[in-house]
Parts: sequence; C-alpha cells; structure tokens
Amino acid sequence: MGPIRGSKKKRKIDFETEEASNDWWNHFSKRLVGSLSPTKDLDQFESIFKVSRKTFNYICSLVSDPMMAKTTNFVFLDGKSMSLNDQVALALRRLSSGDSLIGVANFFGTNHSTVSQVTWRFVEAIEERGLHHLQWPSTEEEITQIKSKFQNIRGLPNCCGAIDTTHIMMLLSASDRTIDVWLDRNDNHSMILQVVVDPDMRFRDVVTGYPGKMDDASVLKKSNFFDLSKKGERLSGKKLKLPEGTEIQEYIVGHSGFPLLPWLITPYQGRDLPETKTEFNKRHFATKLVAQRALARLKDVWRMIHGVMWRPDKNRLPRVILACCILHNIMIDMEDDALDELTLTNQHDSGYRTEFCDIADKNASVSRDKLALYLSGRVAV
Amino acid sequence: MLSSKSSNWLHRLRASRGFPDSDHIDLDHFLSSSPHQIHPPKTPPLPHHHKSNDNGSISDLLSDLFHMGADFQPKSRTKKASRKQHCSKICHLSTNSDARVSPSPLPSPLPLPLAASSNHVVEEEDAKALSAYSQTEVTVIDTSVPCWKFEKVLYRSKNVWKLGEKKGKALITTDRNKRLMNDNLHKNKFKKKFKLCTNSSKFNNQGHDQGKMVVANEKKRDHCSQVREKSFGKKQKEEDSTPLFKVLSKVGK
Repeated sequence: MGPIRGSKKKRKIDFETEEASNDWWNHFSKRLVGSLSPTKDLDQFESIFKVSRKTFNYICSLVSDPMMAKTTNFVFLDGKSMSLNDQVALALRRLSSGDSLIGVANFFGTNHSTVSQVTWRFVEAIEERGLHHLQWPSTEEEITQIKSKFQNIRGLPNCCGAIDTTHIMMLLSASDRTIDVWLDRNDNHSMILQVVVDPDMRFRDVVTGYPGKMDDASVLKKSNFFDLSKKGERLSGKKLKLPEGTEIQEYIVGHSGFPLLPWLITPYQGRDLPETKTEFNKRHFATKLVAQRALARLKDVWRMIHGVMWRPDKNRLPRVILACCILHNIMIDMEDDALDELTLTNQHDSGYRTEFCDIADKNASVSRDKLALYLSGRVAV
Repeated sequence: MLSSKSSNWLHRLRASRGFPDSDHIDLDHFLSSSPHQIHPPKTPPLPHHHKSNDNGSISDLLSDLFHMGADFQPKSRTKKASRKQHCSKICHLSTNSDARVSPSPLPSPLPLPLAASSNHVVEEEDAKALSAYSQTEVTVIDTSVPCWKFEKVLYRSKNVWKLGEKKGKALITTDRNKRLMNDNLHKNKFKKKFKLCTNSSKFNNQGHDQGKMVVANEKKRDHCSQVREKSFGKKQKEEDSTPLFKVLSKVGK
C-alpha cells in the first residue's frame, strides 16, 4: 500500500520534489506572514496543513495531473498565479482548519470563490487518483495480517474489521423540503458516515450520503458491503475451526445498533450477564475501539466535517467526506509524523448514545456463544 | 292586489301545463307518477347528444372563435371536464398506502393471463406502494461498488427505507419538475436573447430600446409556449365541435 516504493530513480525524483517543495514553502510562508500570529512558528508546516511535508509532496504528485489538466488559472489577490503546491496547500487548509471560506481566503490572500473552486477541484482529483488508498483488502496476505493484528488487541480470532457510524452535522435552511429526513435521533440535521476500519485505523469501506434520520442498521442494509457479505462474496475466507467442531467464519465487530449476523458480531445486550459474556463484551469493546478512534481522528484532523456545517450542498458533502477519508488513509500509508502529535480519543459523536437493534441471526447467536466460551478458556484449543 | 294577480297568473300557467294547482308540490312524486302530462315545447330535430346543452355549445364555439371578454365563462366547460373524468382509465384516487384496498369506482377489469400481466401488475403495485413514501434525492458514496458514487432516490415511510433508481423525470417530484422547466425556459430565453442580440447588430443604433424589444419578444415567446398548448387545445375543440357547427348551421338554414 505504501506509495514510496521502487527504484533509485524514483527516490531521486522524490528528493528533487522535496527540495522544490522546501523552496516553495520558504517562499509561500512569507505570503502567510501577515495572516499568522507572531507566536506561531512559521516552520511548523504540519500545524498549518496537518500533514508532514513528505505527505504533502506525495499528495501533490498524486493530484498533479487532474488538477493541472484544466486551464482555469487561479490567482492570489496580488495577481500572481497559483502553482499546484499553492492549490493543494489551500485545499488542505480548507479541509483541515474548519475555517470558513472567507477565513481561508484571508489567510492565503485570495478571494473566497477561489478557495471554494480550488477545494472542489482538489476533492475531485483526490477521488480520482487516491481511491486506491481506500479499499477492502484484496490479498490473502493482507487479510491474514489484519486478522493477526486484531487478535493481538484482545484475542478475538478471525476478525477482519470494526464497523462504526458517525454523524456529520449540518445547519440546513428551514425552506429545505427534505429537512425532516436529515433530522437525526438527537434532533440535529446530519449526514451519516459508515466505515469499516482495519486495526491500523485505516478505512477499508466507506458509505456516506444517507440522511441522519436513518438508523445504523438501515444504513448497513443499504450498503453494498451488506449485500456482498450476505452473498458470501466478502468475509468468506478461511474459517476458524473451534475444537468441538464449530466453525467461525470471518467477521467484523460492531456496536449493538447493528444486527447480529454470521459475519457481524455485536456484543451481548442486557445487564447482569454471566461472566463469560461480560468477558466477551470487554474483548469486543476493546477491538471495536479502533473504529471509534479512527472516526475521532478523522474529525479531529479534517475539521471541516467536525463541526456543524452551514447549509452544505448535500450532493457534494459525501464527496468531501470521502476525500477526507482518503486523506486520512494516505497519512497512515505514509506513516506521517503528524500522526504522532495527535492524541487518541474515542469520542467522535458526542451526545449520541448507542442504538439497540433486536435483529439477531440464530446461527450467529450460537457462534457468538461458542466464541465467548472459547475466549474464556473453557474450550480448549 | 299584486299578489292576487300573480297567483292568478301562476294558476293559469299550472293549468295550461298540467301541473297540480297547489303551492306545495312534491316534484319527485309528481314527475314519477304522471310524466305523460308534461308536454315540453317542440324543439328542432337535433341529434340527441347535443340536445341538452345547445346554448353551452354555441357559447363555447363563440368563445373559441371570438374574444368574449375576461368575465365570460362558457357554461359547458365544467360538463366537459366531468366527461373527461369519467373516461379516464388510470385513476390514482389516493396517495395513501391503503390505495390498493380502497374500492375502485370503476368496474373491475377482466382478469388477464398471469404470465402476460404479472410484471405490469407488480410495477403498478410498487408504484402505488411507493406513492405513500416521501422521496429524497441523495448522492451516496459506497466504496464497495466499482462505480462508488451514485445518485439515488430514498423513499421513506416511518422507519421503512427503500432505495430507488433516479430515473430522470419519473422520480422527480412536481415541484422539482416545475423548477427544471423554469430553468430550461430561462436557459432557452437566455440563448435566444443572445442570438437575437448578435443577429441584430444592424439595429445597434436603437440601443436600449432594442434590448427591451428583445426581452419583450422573449416574454412573448414564453407566453407563446403556453399559448401553444392552449391553441392546441382550441384546435382540438374546434375539430370536436365542427360537426356540431355544421348541424347548427343547417338548422339555421
């Protein structure tokens, strides 16, 4: 997955682009002097764009062709044309700062219309060229690694992912005919983002665009991930054979708002559960946490989708969300240093309580019991 | 004095027409019991279906041929509308989900062979069922689908969600249809305006007035698109009423 692989020639090119990037930054940072507070260290590239220079260069190389293919010439207020790096920097700032169009425009010395157009062009370009950073593992080796890492968290065997949803809040116009559909269970207008995450907090499957009124189970049922898994075209790899003969198929873990299915294991519901089930729930919760953390990090870094968005275009918003998810994965794939600075939180949907779904497949229920017994050590391997 | 005179006149009229001489006539009873006593005035031998609304038809014709003023409303318009209602084959009575069980005013159609009609029936039922749902157009991103971005129509009825394909105008609500139509009209208007402006460079001296004229022409053009519909309707009416006109002219002779 890592993009920095290949020959010495490639490394040489990378080195050259890095040098060029440094030159660009030295020049560009002077443009920002007026906008930055005196206490802010201008050399802190990462504090402004949320990515390291290495990742920035990679992103520039990724979107170079589609962004420069169009003939539109974007300019600063002083009339100077924007280079590719300028445009990528502007788009990254817009997506990561959470500032308004005017705020970003003032910061860069351009007008808000340019910020909007450049950001949208960047979103389209990153979709076109960066989607390979967001895909379901395709090789057996990848799957095996993922299973192994999940098992290392709290012992859950054969687990391939963790699923979770979050709400992207919006402030909609009262005259919007469909306003009620976007009103979620917490009386906020929101769009749902559903993700399946691997143990490295990388998004492996993304579904978004559905209105906040839909519950998590409904969104899952509408997703192609559900159809593929139901048909046995996904999560259909090597089964785990328990000693007494029970087979546990590949599965993902999710909260109680999802249905219990042979390929989606949810925790036991209710109070005063027996020790075996309580223990299982603890392991389940720890494993599922990667998805919560991934979403929390997504919103923390790409702050445009963190707060309440002012009357967004609901057809464009899903694509902005996807672009943020791709950028999130690129940072992981690039082993970005900026990630080390971030604190891990679990909270991505503050105020939202977990839903409860009553749907449970009988076979899945039996498999979960067997798995709980196996994990408690009562079933010998 | 006046009342006695008027009552005498009324008595005479009743007597001449064969009505009972009383102030409290049970009209229904009278009509059902002695229809033979009524002698309607003789009328010209017109075809039966034009008999009842001669005046209306003539006024319709006149209103179609001449400008009768804004207040003029032909009498037979409403009757024609009701005739159309009776003849309509597809009748969506209700938007409720109970539409399928609501009694139909039309006689039930003959049962068709299942193989031939099943698809149609299913589609119709789906359409009826979905009519109870609210519709929202959504752009969905699903990275598990090769074409990961698609536009769908989301149907909602309480907690039931259905996803449908966005099939152009069919799934667009009327409001949106109107908006699209207006947008198109606006675009056409703009294009036409631009064309006229470029073609009429020889009228540049007229300057501002020319612009106004162009706008006026465009307004006219827009109006024409509606008027065309109306004139099309009129043509139809004219065609429909031509035999009647001929008959009436013969009668006149």
